[in-house]
Amino acid sequence: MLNAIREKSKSKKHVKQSPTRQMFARLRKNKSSMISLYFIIFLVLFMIIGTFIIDESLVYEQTMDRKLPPSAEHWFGTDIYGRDIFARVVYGARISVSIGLITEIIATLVGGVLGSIGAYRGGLVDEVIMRLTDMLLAIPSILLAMVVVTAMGANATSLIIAISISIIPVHVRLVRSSVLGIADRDFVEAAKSVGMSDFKIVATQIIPNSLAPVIVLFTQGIATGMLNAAGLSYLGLGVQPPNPEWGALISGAREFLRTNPYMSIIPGIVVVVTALSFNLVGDGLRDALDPRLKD
Amino acid sequence: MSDVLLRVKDLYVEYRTEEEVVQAVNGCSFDVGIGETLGIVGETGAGKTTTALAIMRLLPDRTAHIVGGRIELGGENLLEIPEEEMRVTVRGERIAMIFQDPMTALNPVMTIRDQIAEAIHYHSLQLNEAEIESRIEEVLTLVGIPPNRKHEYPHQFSGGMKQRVVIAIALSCEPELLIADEPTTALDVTIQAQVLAMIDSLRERLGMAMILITHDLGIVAQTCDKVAVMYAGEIIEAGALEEIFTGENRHPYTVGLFEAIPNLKAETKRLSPIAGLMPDPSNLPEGCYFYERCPKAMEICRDVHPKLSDEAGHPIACHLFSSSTKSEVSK
Amino acid sequence: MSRLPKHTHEAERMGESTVIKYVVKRIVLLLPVLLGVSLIIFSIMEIAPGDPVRNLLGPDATEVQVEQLRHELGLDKGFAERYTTYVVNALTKGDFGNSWRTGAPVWDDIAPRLPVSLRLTTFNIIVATLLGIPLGVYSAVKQNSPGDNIMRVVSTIFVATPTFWFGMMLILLFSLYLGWLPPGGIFVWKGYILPVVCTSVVAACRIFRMTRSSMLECIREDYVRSARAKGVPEKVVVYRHALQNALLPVITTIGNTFGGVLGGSTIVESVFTLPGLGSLLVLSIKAKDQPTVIASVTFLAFFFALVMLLVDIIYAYVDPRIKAKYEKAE
Repeated sequence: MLNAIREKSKSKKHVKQSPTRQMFARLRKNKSSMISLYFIIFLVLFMIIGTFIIDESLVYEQTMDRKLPPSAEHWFGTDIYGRDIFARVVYGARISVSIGLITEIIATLVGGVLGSIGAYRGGLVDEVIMRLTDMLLAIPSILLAMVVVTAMGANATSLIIAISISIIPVHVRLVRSSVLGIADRDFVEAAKSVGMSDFKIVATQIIPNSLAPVIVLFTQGIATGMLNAAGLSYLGLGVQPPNPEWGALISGAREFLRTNPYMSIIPGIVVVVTALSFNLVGDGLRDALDPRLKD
Repeated sequence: MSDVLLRVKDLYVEYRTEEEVVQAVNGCSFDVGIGETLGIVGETGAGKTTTALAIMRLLPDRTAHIVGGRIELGGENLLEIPEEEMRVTVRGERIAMIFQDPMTALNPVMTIRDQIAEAIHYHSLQLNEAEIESRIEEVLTLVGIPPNRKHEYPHQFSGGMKQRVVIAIALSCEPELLIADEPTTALDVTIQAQVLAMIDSLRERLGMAMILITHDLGIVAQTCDKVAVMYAGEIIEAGALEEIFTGENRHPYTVGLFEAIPNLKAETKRLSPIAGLMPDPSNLPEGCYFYERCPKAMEICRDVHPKLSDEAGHPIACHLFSSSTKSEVSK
Repeated sequence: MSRLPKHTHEAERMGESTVIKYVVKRIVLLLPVLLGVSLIIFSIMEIAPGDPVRNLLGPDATEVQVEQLRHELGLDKGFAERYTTYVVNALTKGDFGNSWRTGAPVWDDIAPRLPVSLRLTTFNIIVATLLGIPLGVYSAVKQNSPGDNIMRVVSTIFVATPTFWFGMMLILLFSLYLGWLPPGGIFVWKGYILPVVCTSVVAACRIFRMTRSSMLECIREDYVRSARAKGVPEKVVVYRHALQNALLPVITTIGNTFGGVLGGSTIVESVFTLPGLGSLLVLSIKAKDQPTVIASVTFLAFFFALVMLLVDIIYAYVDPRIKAKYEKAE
């Protein structure tokens, strides 16, 4: 009977893999993040190729084919000025996703540097950085971005600067707490005790181990940045029409909500799917990098 | 025997995850008599905690599966009674369990008075408000905590005192059996001695039986009547304290355990650990699980899994002490 | 089944006087925060390129007109002077300067809009919390059940949805298509429904996710196992032991979400044409009306700070470890 029980529960051989390979294996297993990842890659390629294939004139030139619903010729229909909405969405993707990406890069770099310095140096430097960050965090980020836009005028550049500034505090906090958490851990002390230089410790122990939350925040931050940019542009405080930034685009469709709903429904769905993809990849990365966090 | 309180017979427990099946407990069997102290010793990963949780039916039900065996408390098979009955009459009332880490064993946002009151409240003892209060104070005094501290929170107590609170909670319903899973491992050596002594005297006072799970043979020597040695999910040897510590016929693993203890008196240059590691529980070998590491291994050990037999004077699962095998070998 | 055993009396938990002292101290700390916020906003306006006066008058203005307006608006004075005058006036007289758009005191624009914004934000937070927490608990307890999976998918989708678009879709469905609710304005009480749904659903999703993950973590804590080993019924284990501890980070999340709600009020008020503080802000930004912008943002930040203060107080009351840290520091 013993053997029967054993046979019943015999499992496949368990081969141990290196941590990096395990991470990729976990990531690959997470279906939704893989689909999202492929989608994002597809999106990026599409944006790049699309802007070569689709003529820019379609985006800005006004035609007489106004307010046409979706058809074989105009996949997403046309807007009030007769511009093909699909073309506008494709070019808009370039704008919106780039803004999300650029703001996130800036915020991660600046926030990362400040956060690490604060965590590493401690003392007065840290205090100052923390107080400043706290004060900035007392203002909801969208409002902070609006203040910057007020001061600098409403255009793409000031939008990027505004959003970057508004999200830097969150990045500073995250990097700082991540680094502090790692620096305290036993393996860092172990490295110190065998005589590893400070520089080497930071480079080989601290940075790789504190990257995980930063990477996750980065991916999800692209989505947040994109949505914030869209929101501000929708209000007229960001990218200005006729540029087809997604928020501005949907803003233009507002007055036709009753008569031509397709003008706002479809681009909105594209925004949701894109933001969703970035978020799901972020979720997948988080689960892959630290599976203990999952359930 | 009529004074057996708890009998575990052929217990099999598996953990099943997406990637593998871990055979944590493989045919574990032992008895605990009324008022008796049984020490279960073994390395980390031997399956001691899993066995204890199985007795309490506290295993995580998504991953853990009890796939065979009986757990009899006073003759009744605990694995067959309904959950509600288990919760109300057994857990906390007939069997209590305390765990290793006192720092995390208590709810940080509840006073210790409330946590002890809970233990009393959810059982079949029908006590009124005043009786509950006095019982709480009684049990706190028993473990050496001033009753006027009952409205304080866990973080206001030291590690050793927290463990005392944990013990107070466990004893509040005067259980017949206390399962203590490495109760002093997380404490300083001096506190360790205090807490152990306290557990011991309380146990005697209340006539309670105890299963003490530990990897520390020193603690076993101090407090236990009987010892069971666990390896790779099964009990490979069990007996009275002397039989296991100093007996002639002992399982090679047990012998190895004792030889690994550094000798206080003699001068030694190197320690003598048992070579190798416990087998992978998701991939157990055919024959004896100790085969790879056993200095006295024989042919038959690789192919046939030894069963517990009484021939050597106390239960041992080893072909060395099994007459049927002996006759095979001598041929 | 008899009632739960009586709990340790509230007053015995934290000395009454200590609570009051803590609350007072935190209220007093609000002031520096507000000063910091207004200073930051002022500085940003100051540093930015461009001349606000010229922006107001347009490119055809003469030098004389520019200088005259500059003097009228008090912009010829130094930064420090302007800032201190502003703060002093605001704190002592409730004078937030005059709007560059209307010429009337900023307070006249803000005052009527405050109740609207406050009402909306309060509804939003209440609805979001009432939705998010119970669903989060349910989801955690019934992990991987169909209900849990659906809610996770739905909440993930909502979190990726732009508020303005969601609002438009709500209008499309409930107002234009079904005709049940008005598309905007708050003339009727029904006018509050769609804006509240628009904001609170997304906020509820964030609270839901935090509650769920916090519960899942707490359910795995040792003290939960101890409670089960004591023979405590599963329901009590979940709701008394796990939930009480799990709610702590959730309270912080609710505070942070509130910040998002305040920021998002600008968008929601625009989509549903509501006369709140948010729409005033947008209006003022477009009109380059700095005094109103500064005042509006400061007010919104003030509400945010109030909520975070509330969060801290609740935390201190509920978590004995925080109380202890504070009492030790006394």
